[in-house]
Amino acid sequence: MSDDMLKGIANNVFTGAGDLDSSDGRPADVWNTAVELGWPWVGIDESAGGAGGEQDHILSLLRAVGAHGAAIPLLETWVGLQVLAAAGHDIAAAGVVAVAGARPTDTVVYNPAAGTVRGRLPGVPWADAADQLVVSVHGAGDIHALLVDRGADGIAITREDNLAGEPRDTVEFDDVPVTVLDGAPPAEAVLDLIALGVVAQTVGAIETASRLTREHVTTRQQFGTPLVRLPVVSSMLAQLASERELAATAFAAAAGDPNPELVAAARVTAARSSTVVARHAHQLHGAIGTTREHDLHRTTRRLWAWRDEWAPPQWWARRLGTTVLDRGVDGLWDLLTAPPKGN
Amino acid sequence: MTTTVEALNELRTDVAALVQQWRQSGRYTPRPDAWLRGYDRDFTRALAERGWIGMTWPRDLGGQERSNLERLVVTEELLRGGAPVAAHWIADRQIGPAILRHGTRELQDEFLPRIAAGELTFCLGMSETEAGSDLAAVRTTAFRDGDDWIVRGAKVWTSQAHRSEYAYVLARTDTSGDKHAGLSELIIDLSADGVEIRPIEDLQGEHHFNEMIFDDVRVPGRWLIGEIGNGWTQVTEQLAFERGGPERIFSTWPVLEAAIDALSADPPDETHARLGALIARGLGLRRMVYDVATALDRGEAPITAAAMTKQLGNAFEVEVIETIRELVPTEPRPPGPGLANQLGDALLASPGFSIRGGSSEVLLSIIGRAEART
Repeated sequence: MSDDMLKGIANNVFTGAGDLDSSDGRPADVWNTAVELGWPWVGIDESAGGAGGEQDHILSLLRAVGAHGAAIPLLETWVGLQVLAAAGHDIAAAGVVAVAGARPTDTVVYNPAAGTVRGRLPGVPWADAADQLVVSVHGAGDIHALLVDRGADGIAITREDNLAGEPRDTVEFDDVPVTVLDGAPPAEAVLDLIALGVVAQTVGAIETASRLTREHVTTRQQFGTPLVRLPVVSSMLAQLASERELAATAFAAAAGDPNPELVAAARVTAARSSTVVARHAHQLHGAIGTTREHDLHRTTRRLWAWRDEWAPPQWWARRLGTTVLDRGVDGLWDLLTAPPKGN
Repeated sequence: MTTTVEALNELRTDVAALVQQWRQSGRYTPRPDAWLRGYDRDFTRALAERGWIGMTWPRDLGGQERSNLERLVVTEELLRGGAPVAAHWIADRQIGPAILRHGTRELQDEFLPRIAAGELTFCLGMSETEAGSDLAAVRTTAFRDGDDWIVRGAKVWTSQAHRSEYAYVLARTDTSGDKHAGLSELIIDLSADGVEIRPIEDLQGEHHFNEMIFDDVRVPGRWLIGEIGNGWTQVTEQLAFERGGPERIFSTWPVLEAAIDALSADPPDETHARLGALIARGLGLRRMVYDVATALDRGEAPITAAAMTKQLGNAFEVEVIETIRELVPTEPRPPGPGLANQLGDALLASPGFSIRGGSSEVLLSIIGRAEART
């Protein structure tokens, strides 16, 4: 299936879906449609229980999630299914899967003797709504991830939301029994996969904020003329558009070649572009953009939330900068001028 | 036109080897902004011998019929080395392509092979004292005298005019109508009677800028490029294409190179994150430059993308300087070898980045208009 077709389908689904917001930590109703259409299995090998297709396809769907501000656990479930599939689990009826523990600051302790996990993880997307939690662990040798049943004894979940009203719950494990996911990818690989998905969603949200802003300044009249006729307004629109293109370009580079450097670069770039786009979009919308009545907040609140989730941009920048210093200036030049892969 | 990754890598290695050879034998010292300031006819001829000037042009006009992607590889490696390429950069990037697009076969035969051979330096006679960003306000005139044109007026901010054989000049061939109409592009022989070239010192105290004064300079009729009165369309097209190249992001690369070398041994704590943030930006911008080159190879005219690339790229070049300034334990010094001096050199050159080739104000206006039309 072509990317454009997929984008068209996703747009139709979200446009006709009614309320796209989360309620009390539960996904918007459109999640059921997404599951029926098999979206969480897109880009996962058929041999592992997935729907096949390219990773680009799921990234296009995530871009649409961001563009529409749909509160559904597509990214988290898709990543969770990948980890489960890598460990040889049946993923046909996995339900909502939450992923946790992959951030560098996350610390949970696995007790191999008892087969249990202990620890506290803040800011876990969709934890309360999940059927299963895939928990990455650091420093446990060959064991990289654990599977926890949402209903297991010893789990305490506190419901919280991010700035965009998406569930980011705090999870406490008090010696909770787990299944070890042998063959699961390491925490850092899981984090990179999530980051790429966050960038896809971010680019979608940036594109919507950009479109709304363009529509506003070309139709809204002040001083007897459309706002965009004012040179300062036109200039800010141009800066916003330039950031949009830079973010989309960095995303395309990382999607085509998702190595740690390009993923980190895309994550940092998307965060910085989010800052400029959200600021300019609100400034150019004027007072109406500051209301819940107007749609702009559906993307700008997400941009403000997503830029700092799953490790803040400073952490990603530091990781990239460390690689650059390790490889030296010739290595940096090779990185900058490497022939693009994919797309 | 497609080129394999292997062929591109091989070309890159070849160019890098030549640059290294010249650099290590002390035949030039790397400096920022070298594509405008580093002038060496011998180096230009060395590149020409290898077919790296006018390389996208037809073979029977001295070119190699290679892709824009291959040209990108060459220009990138030259910028990386901070190599002295000002003797041919403008002709290769801008004048040659303009003659190729709009010139008669006779004009192409007269100039393109000599540019590709590294024999000619061209300079750009566009801006005037009363026509900076508002290029259509040019007042230099060219009037018919038999088959010839007689040019009168003055151009300013003309880099390397004092070392050039020829100038490309935008002049008014009809003064009666709208300011965008009646403009034409001409080639002027700078050794002709009536040409005077006066130096203008820049912030470094360096002489690359000039004022060119034309006092009834006689120009052969065949040296008018394209159609009489079509100059505005031709020049905006030319500017649009030249904007999206790697010199819009890598002018300050030699400073970054020196800084990373200096910082690697014992980097202060904040170095990694600051450098990473900078490189993240650079990676995205370099991909935009790459995308512009491949769009040109597909025969597209990526005007808005090139404007975005230049606008963001020029800001990045300055961000390179400011980031280094805050990370290295040195104060910027007047131009010369060494990190402190390269930093000072780049800083003094930096105001020009976002002025030449279309100021950021003009580019934002172009992008803003394109957005409003979408």
